[in-house]
Amino acid sequence: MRRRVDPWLAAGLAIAGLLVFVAFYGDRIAPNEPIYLLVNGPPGTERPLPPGQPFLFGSDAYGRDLWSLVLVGARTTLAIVTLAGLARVALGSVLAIIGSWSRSARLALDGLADLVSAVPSTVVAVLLVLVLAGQGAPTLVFAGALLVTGWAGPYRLLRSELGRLRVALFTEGARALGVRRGDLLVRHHLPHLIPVLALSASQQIAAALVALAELGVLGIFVGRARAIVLGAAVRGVTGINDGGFVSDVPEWGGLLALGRGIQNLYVTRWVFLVPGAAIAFSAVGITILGVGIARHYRRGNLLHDLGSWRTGAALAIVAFAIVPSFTLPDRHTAAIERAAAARDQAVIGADPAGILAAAGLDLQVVDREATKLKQIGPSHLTIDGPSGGVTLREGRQNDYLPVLYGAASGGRVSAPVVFAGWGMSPADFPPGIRSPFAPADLGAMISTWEDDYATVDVRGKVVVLMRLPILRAGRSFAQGPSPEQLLTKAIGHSPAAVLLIDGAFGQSARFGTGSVDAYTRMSLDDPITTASGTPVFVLSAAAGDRILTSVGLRPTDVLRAIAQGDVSYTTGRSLARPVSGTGTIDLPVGAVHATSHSTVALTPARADAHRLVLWAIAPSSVDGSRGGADALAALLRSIDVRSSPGLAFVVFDPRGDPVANAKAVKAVLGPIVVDAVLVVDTLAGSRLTFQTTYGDLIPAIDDYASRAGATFARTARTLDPDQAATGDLMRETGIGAFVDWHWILIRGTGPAVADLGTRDDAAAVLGYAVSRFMADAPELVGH
Amino acid sequence: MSRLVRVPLTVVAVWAVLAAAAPLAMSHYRSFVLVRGIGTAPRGTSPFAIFAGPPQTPSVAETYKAPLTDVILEATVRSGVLLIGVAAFALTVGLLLGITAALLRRRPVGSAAILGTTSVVAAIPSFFLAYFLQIAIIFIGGAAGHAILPVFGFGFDGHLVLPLLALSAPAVAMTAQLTAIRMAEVFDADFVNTANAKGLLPSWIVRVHILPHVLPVSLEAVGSGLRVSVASLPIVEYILQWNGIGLIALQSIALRDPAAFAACGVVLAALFSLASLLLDLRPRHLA
Repeated sequence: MRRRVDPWLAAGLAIAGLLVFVAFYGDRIAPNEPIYLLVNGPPGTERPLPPGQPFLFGSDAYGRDLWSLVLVGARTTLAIVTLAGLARVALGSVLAIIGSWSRSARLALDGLADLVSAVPSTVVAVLLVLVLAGQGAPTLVFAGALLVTGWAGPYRLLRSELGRLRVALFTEGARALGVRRGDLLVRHHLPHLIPVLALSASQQIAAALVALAELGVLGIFVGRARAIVLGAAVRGVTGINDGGFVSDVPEWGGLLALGRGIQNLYVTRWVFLVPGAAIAFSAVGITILGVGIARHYRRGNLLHDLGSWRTGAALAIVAFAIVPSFTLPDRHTAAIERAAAARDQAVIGADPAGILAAAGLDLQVVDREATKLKQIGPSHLTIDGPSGGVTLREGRQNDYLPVLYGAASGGRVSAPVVFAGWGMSPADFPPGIRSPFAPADLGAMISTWEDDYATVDVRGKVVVLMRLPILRAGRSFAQGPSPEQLLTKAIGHSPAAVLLIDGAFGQSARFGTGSVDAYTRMSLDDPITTASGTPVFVLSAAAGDRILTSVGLRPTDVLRAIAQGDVSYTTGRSLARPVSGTGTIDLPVGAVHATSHSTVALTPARADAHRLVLWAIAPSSVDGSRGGADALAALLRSIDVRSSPGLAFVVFDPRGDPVANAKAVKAVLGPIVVDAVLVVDTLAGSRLTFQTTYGDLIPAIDDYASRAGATFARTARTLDPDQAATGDLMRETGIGAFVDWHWILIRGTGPAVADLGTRDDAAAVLGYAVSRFMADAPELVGH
Repeated sequence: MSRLVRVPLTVVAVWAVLAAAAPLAMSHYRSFVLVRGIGTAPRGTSPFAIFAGPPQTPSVAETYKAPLTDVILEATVRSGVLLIGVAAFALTVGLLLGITAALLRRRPVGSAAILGTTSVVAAIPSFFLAYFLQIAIIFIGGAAGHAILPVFGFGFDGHLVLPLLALSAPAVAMTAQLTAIRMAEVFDADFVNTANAKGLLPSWIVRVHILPHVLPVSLEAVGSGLRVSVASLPIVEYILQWNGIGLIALQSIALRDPAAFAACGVVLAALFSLASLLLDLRPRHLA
């Protein structure tokens, strides 16, 4: 007679079947790509986006579809916990068998089991993962960490069961018949152990799942993490949820890591509840399965059932259901095909403008001629004094940088050195309007100070100043004068040259705000107009130490003391004094003439249509090569340009003044709505790199490159727009002209291994992106 | 080897391993911030600042501005109080549920409902249970128009309720299930039938004939449940911000403080071993 299936077993099998299905088909049934970020949701919503707007179960803190993340993350999550759970049972079983054969081994293993189970497994697993791989560890490290602490349970259970079986009558009978130890275990004991093993496996898989989730709650998750910052992409108020580490691998524990925080308790509960419910449901389901197996086979024989035709049929059905998940075509097949087509067209020396003209598009040419005063050679700065000479080195990482702005100029100077203290005169900073609501006023605070320029005569001399970062008086703070104010006042006193010591020099993160540092901003906003006059330099505090040693001042100490609230250097008494020595300065500045020739074309579209701009820098701003143009040409040859609405093509010539040239191109493009700009620069080297200040584009572009089959360096972080290096990058490439557009810079890097460099890879990425854009992909369209 | 001997041996072994391995292990990773809301930046702060990590790494003692021994002792008392509460709660509620399920053994629906519910509750991860309880209390407080209970933080008052419930769920479930199974066996035993046939009072039968056979099993279940509670202590204390030994252990990992970590490990091992001791302390003749 057929036995009735235990309801617990039936329920457990149903849940397990569902979990297996989701693990294999999660990425197919997910309604959205889970790693793409939707930074700006529907009007009136803030991230995390609430359920239904637009995602069914809402989004996480970075705007990713939680439901899709749960579906796609099931595979990794269940793989890790199944691996860890089964490994726990396997290790525990092997040790239990060894322990049952040898008394001394049993004593040692019992002690070891006591030891590893005495400290909570979460604590040990956290430490192990951090030690072995750090935050964002790979899958195997996680499984290993979960194994180390979890084998003791199955070991105790199996050893107890083996102890019971060892004294059973049938064991004694088998021994009397001369059955060997191995055969005894396999033939006589194993059938009795199967239910216990099944129950133990389900318990350990559930325990591993819970441990994985607990690690996630503590911020330890699977996969390498990226530093994503969304501030630049956010349309509304920036702040909360604008930056953090995001795992590459969708996994349930990592989702919990993003669901912590007080706001997730009171307001955005879905961020924690959705992955938490998935984990709880799975843990309960797996436990029910184990209980069901134990109940059903309490008096039955699991091995007998496993050998039946019904089990064979069930396994065949499961295999038949799973196999298609490996053979189904990728969900972005069209984009992959377009990427391959673009890749095939990559050649060296192509002419994208010619292809655009041949396609019948209206080409617009942007020709610019520029004559700019620029530094035309390395500068020199030496201070000779009685105690020897001080030679300083130019460079952001060295001692000084020239400041080429309107009031300054180049030239060769040799003159005595004088120190003008903070370079401030009360007359230059009149007190402002007093108001209890206004911040402290610098003019009012220094109104009784000695005039630095009355203390020393700076005319015809090399004047050294220190920039006061902040002024404290009682409980009031005032910002010090801006570099431009200080330098312009100093030049007004007719010195031969000005050396400004700035404590923020070299500390790139704090060297200024905005896309470039304060001194570069001065040069850009008010360019130099004369080649010869008063050279101006900004110096590091350490360089200032070397110049002012002879007068007993160390700017490093002074600026540090001010930062710590010491007011002894800002009492009002002037620090100005003569410096014994002569400054010799050479700053070569001359006119540089350049012409640029850029080309712009738009595919037919409505005036208010959203556009994807494909911007090739040729010649490259790095090495003068035309790889960007070649990649763009390959794309153009692979698509029907006229029937691809919403695209804009730019072959950009950065020579002369890149930002001004880009502004001219932008003006020709007109008032179009730009969704994203893919900027392609040099494509020399062996792999692509992607750089952007828009963190939301990073997961998408890396995924594009991966699916397009490109060789690329994983993009680990978002560029900080406040860093000087980012400002330099944007200035050299012309991106500074369109920082408010969603841009990403594509470049080749590394040693070259093929003549094409990375042109074919870049073309494939462009092809993939164009295909996604034409399909209205949310990660590209609608920013 | 008797467990009474193995308990101190285990604790000493844990101390020896952690004292030797923790400093070496903690030199292999960077310290990190273990606070609620990690991964978010306060308004007005550049998100890039969070990638730099904590500006300096204070020790656990510096963080709490007290000597390490005081910090560990206080945390041990806080966690100890929780675990004693868990034991008492599990024994009381688990026993009552188990007895009820046993009495309803002839009514499959009632009995299965109790045992099924306890099985499911036992399988729910404690961190999720803690979070779920927090939300439930917030909802109830919202409906009532005033706060019912504090949803996180430390205090020997209403703050105790949520950690106690979150930690005791597995112990209650285990106690209820094992008590029900054992009691059902005893109810159907010949000596109970004989006692019933003699016309003894049911309360007398339960007190004198049944409970002595059931209580050892219930105590064993409480011991097993307590071990699960000790294992869940760090995560529940973290979620509910209860400054017990589990939370200090996690903080000592984040702050890379090997001395504090070793001390926490020893205390946790002692608590775990003491819970295990309950399994052996029951009178053998009653088992």
